[in-house]
Amino acid sequence: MPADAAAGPPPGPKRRDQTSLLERALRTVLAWTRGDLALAYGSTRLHLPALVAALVFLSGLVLAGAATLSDAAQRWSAGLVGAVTVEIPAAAAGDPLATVERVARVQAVLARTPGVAHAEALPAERIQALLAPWVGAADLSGVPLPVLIDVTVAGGATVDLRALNVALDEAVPGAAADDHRRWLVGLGRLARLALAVALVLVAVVTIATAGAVAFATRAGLALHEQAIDLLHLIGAPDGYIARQFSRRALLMGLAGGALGWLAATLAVLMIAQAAQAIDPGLPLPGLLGLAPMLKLLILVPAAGFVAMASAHWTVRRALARLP
Amino acid sequence: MAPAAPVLAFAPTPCHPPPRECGRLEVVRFENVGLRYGVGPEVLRDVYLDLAPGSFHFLTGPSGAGKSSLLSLLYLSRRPTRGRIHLFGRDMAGVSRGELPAFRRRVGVVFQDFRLLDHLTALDNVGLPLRVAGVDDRTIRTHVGELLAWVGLADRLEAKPPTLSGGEKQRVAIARAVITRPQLLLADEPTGNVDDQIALKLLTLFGELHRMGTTVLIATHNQPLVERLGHPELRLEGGRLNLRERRDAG
Repeated sequence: MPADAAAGPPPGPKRRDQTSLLERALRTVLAWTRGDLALAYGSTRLHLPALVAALVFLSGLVLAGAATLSDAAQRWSAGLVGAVTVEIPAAAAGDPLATVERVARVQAVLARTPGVAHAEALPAERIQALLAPWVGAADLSGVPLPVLIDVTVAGGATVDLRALNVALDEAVPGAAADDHRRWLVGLGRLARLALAVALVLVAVVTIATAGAVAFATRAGLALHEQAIDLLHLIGAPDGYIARQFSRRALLMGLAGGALGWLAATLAVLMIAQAAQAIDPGLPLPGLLGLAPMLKLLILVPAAGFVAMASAHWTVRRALARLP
Repeated sequence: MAPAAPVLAFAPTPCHPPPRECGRLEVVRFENVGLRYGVGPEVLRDVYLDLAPGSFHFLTGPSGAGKSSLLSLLYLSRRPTRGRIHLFGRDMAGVSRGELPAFRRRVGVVFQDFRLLDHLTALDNVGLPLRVAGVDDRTIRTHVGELLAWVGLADRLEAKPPTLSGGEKQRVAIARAVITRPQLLLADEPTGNVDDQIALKLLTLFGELHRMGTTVLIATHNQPLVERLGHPELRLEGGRLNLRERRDAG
């Protein structure tokens, strides 16, 4: 010890703090992130954010896919709900009733059916366009084609499909109405299934993230055993020590989450661009855009929170073994 | 002339629970305390010990006698396998785990191996107990700076332990132990790594804290120093504790 040591009480502080608000805020943030332990997490310092990024990337893509499918199903459903299609078979050769007469009979039945707001036969060009994927651009003018009547159901009303079908069959044998319910049910089931699969995958990813962070935290606990023991002995509560780890995990989770979200957004935009290149009219590009991905920004704080909670819980559990 | 004490802003932690158990009751009381590690033999046997507030004792004994084990019971690093320990008037058997950090903050410890954190500066190492206690950074800097200056390390505030000499590390460790003005100060071989002159100065520092009301217990092998200062000596042999009073105790 130098000669001047212990040579009387030192003078009080004279230094005036002239730091700006910004500087003080920066210092506070730095102090918050620094902690008392040199939590480099060993090699996990880079591995953990990379792993979180990969998991968030996966979650982002799956959720974007599920949202796209769900949205498409909703659009298709919206187009079909409140609509009934009546199909009148083409008049067979030798049938005394001309096509016009068959349509008129069906129109009459529809006109007296409760709930029907509007009924309109599809023009032959539309029917030809609907058949185009199968027959191409062939001339179908000489081919007997069925007539389709687009029926709009009044808002809030329902049509008794069974009674309508009986009446239609009596008026024109073979004429039948379809309210697309089978399609709607199938679409709804598909959308729900896609969403459920996406949620299960997100849950698996959440568990994987928490597990990876817990593993890294346990490695950190082993690496800093002596420092933790010291903090414990000088009276640091478990929460204080746990915060040293959970802060670090939060930052790594946020960094990894941001990276993963960015990668997922880039991938989605590339898919959207590729889809648009095929057909600008496709509904998918609109869904696979930046706006829906902005909603998935929630994945970034979620990743940070999962990492933080996992680290905190792991440390608290480990410290509970100390006296 | 005895050196003046540093200006420490932190008053001793208030007695808990006040005031009945804090008057002149023993700071430490051991009743028939035993300690064993695992299924091994008892390293401490039938230990009875009373340390009055403001007392100063040396803890001596041969290597392996159990000095460090006894200190570890005092700084609540482990619990006894039998017997009762009272600290600051509270029976530790009845203290919940959540309450223990508050008790630990009332005990300052100078570890034999210093236990400084290599990645922190001397200033941050000494300020650690204050940070743990929730003191703001500016106050910590001020008071740690004063204390480090007082132990002769004013120019080593930003130095990290790997760059400090053994004696400097020792002083940093002591400063960390006393920065909160603990009611009980424990030191495990605090003079083990320094020459006799520095050892005497370090003990003078402990003497100052003792004069300010801190209860001090120092485990040491340095028998000549024990003889010279003349404080009562607690001698551990074979796991048992004996008190040697000195006529010239002061």
